[in-house]
Amino acid sequence: MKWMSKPRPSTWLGIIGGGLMFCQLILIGLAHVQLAARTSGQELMRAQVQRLGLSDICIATEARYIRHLAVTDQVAPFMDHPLALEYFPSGSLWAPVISSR
Amino acid sequence: MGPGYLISLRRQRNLLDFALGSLWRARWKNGGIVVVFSLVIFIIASFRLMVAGLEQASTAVLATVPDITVQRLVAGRQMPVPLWWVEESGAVFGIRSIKPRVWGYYFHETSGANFTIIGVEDFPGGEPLPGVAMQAVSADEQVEENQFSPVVLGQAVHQMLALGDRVNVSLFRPDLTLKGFSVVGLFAPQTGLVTDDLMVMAIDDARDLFALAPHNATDLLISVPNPLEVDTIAQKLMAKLPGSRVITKAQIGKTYNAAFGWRSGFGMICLIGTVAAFVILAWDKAAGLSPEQRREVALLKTLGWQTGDVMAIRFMESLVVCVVAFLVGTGLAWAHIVFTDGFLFKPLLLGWSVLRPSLSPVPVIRFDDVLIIFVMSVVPYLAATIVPAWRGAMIRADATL
Repeated sequence: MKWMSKPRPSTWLGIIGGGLMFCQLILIGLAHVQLAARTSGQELMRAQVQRLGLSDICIATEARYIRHLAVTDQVAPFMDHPLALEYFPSGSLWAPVISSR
Repeated sequence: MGPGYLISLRRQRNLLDFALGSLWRARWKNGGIVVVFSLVIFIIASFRLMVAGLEQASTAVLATVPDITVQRLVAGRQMPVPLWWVEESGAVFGIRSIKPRVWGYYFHETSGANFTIIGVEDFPGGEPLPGVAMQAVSADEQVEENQFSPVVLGQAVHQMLALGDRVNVSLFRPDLTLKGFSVVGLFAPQTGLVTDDLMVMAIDDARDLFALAPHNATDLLISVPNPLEVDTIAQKLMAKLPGSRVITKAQIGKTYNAAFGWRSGFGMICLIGTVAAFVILAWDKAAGLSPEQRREVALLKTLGWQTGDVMAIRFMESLVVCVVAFLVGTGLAWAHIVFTDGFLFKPLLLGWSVLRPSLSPVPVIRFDDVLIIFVMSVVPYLAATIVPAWRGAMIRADATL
């Protein structure tokens, strides 16, 4: 009969779900390929950190306490008070250094 | 017929087919929910993956930070360290080396960017800087070069100064006199995560640029061969050096773990707000049963379906929506991080920085990250739809028909 040859909805779900998972695995694979290509860069960075005595990674350069979070004045972030309102956009994504000690 | 579990599986598959048919009948409504839900999961997953990428990169790169950094605090502010602290610290047993360092920020008025100046001992001689190809200076430039101090620049600084092929650059001292530098090397582009805003020079040149007294440094970097002794040595240094602030390697690691933690910042609160808004939408959509849906449930019950069967159908519908949205949302998040380096969150992370380091936060996939994304998105949706589903399944057939 004709209706029997038609795939069941659950078969379609399996095909679509499988396809999505396959796409995701490809993307995760690509991410890991990118990471593998950076291994030599990380070796260099570790050597530079050791040679220059660096303490922080360079993400945002707008505020001194975000650029050098680990060695900044303890009262510098969040406008000189840990509970004061932070006005730098990048500051909203970082925890104040005082809370980590 | 077959074994019991096979019959049960067939039954579940039939129920799933029915649930999919039911979803398909209201495809515009359910399609809308899948799209919105995918976007919510995309935002949560992108944020989590980006933070995980930064966390992993910082952990990997900052593995070699100094064992102990000694600063001097006066009235809560960081002040220059007197060099007699070097001899004083040297008396503590268990220290391998003590290096004074001068560093600080230079505001480049033309571009509005902040550079990090680092002055180290044994530069440009001594141990070579890793990842820096030192440039040979031509004979014509030799004479001129003697008047200029050597400096190594990060890639972003080099671009910001728009030097092109030129090698000489002048910076202002505090009294507005000019100090000339000759660029002798650039940090390799793949090391931008730690070097993009750096200008590395000899310690005396940095002192000269900042007009710092010759007997002062910004901080001391102390190397301790035995990691078990770091805390003890740190305590001894604090006792020995009045007004000192001693930062250990473990504290720097802790700072970065907390900085990128889920609890940090307002970003997470915004994301929780997004999930809450979506849960309200999901509740509203699931609670408002149309007359057709009520009639459908009533008919099914008349045909002998139990309340549990109707609930199973509703649960499967929710689960299908969740799983499809989860796969689409997380897939888009991976694409967002892998292909665009997280361009949606990057402006927030960089803020008003004029000098924008090249950032590419790709994480290694970890089960706990996937679990966090799943728990933050799928569980609230299932929880929001379960009560309306139960209410819908409790419809009395005789009253509805």
